[in-house]
Amino acid sequence: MSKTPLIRLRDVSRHDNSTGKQLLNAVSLQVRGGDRIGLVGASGSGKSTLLRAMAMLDRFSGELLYQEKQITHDAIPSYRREVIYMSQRPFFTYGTVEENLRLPFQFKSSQGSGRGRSFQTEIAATALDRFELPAQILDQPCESLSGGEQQMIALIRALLMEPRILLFDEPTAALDSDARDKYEQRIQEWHSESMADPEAERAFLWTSHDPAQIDRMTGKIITMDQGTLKTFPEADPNQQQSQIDGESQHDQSAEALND
Amino acid sequence: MIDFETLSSTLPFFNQADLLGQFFKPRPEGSISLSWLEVGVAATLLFINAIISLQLGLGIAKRIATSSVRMTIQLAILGLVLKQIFELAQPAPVLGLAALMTVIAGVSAVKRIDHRYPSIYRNAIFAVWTSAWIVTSITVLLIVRPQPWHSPQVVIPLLGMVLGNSLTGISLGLDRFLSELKNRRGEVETMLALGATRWESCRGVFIEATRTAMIPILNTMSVAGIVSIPGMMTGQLLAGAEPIEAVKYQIMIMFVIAAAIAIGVVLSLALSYRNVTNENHQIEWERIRRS
Repeated sequence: MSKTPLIRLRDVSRHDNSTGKQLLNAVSLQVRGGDRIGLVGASGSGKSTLLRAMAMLDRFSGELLYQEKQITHDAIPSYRREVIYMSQRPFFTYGTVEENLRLPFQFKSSQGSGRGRSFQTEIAATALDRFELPAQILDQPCESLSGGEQQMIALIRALLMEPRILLFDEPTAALDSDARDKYEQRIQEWHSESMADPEAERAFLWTSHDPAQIDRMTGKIITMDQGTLKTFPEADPNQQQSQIDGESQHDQSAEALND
Repeated sequence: MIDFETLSSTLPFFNQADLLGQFFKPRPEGSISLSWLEVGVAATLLFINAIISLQLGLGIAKRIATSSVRMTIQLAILGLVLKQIFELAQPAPVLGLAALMTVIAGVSAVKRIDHRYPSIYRNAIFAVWTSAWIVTSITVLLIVRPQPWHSPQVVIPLLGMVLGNSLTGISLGLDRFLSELKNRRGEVETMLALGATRWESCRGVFIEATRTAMIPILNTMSVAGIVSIPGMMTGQLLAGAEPIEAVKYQIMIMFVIAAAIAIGVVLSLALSYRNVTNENHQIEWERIRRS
């Protein structure tokens, strides 16, 4: 249990310059490989802001380390490839599903070889198949898809990039129960796929207003209120074991990994 | 019986030839000098429009009036200033007036933009200044080559034409860039979240803004001589220039204007892009505000 955290946040604060409101107040948090963290709290408590900060999409004060290293300015796009923020509503550029799935691989941060560095049609087809989406959907314009299909395509787009961490901002709020089940199942599969290799372990954070879903999907629960964490599962590395135990009775997979 | 002959001669109003003769004296050949009364005839045309607007309640009568008065005063002052500067024929006042015109052009470019960020005025003035002065300098020093180089009757109208067009382009480009960035926020941010650099995420919006800014001059160039005879050429023809000479000048000025717009637009957009993004590949949404 001496695994180094994938992400370490230290005293991350952010305030809205126009309203002066404190959006995040000295948040410290660690995310380790294998983590499935549920982020709960009232609307406006800072859940999305925290996820956005973890993807470095906004300016904030404090420190964010990835695999215990500072991220240089130039490395931020590559970092975001590994730690992908999934917005509540999916967005696409003008074009077909395939063009949108290919888009991330055209960015400079996708250069180089390795898994998830290039678009492969067979992998995309398999990914669609898992959601029971027909391969023809690749040629359809994204705006013609239903809300549920768009959400699935957005997830596939992210998964094709082989990220380490996914940050879900209420991803299933607009899905019917059938689509939601598929979505949840796919994420659990993705999460457990890499379990064999401790070096490649994956993690995700998930916000939701549905306690049952948080229970199903996550092992640790962090409660947020007015920009602060109400529960600090791993604030102090020396105390983390007991705190994790306290938070994660229903997380067998994470427990097993921690041993 | 009324004697029309007598009546018309006693009441000059009815005697059209006499009336025209009195106010609109035949001009000497080749002269295009206007009297103020002749300018007034043109104003009457707009005055009729204002009356119609009042009658129909279109609500633009007041704006027609203020714009007309404003334009008249501005041009009158310009005339007086130019008269002074033409007489002085010194480089300093010419450059001073040119600088003043440039700053005003930069400020006016921003005035029409809905979304702004804090340093937008500085950037717009810099972009107008750089583009218009580079292009005008080349035109004056290498193409027209007046003696002396600072001849105000060459420098000021050329710069004015370049400025007017450049400011329109910059204004359209910046407006499109900032509003489109806001409208496509979700899309732009999704690209960032998927590993795009700030440039990769803004590139589409940047290109669209450039295109929008160039459309008016491209349209003008494509219909020049078919639908419209451009202003400068009209002026030269009125002043009695040879058509071929006027055409050459007009072609030259079109190239010059298009070049100034292109430089000004790209420069202003590049500066704006730098100002609303940061080295952490983030968009500074808070900086972009509706005015």
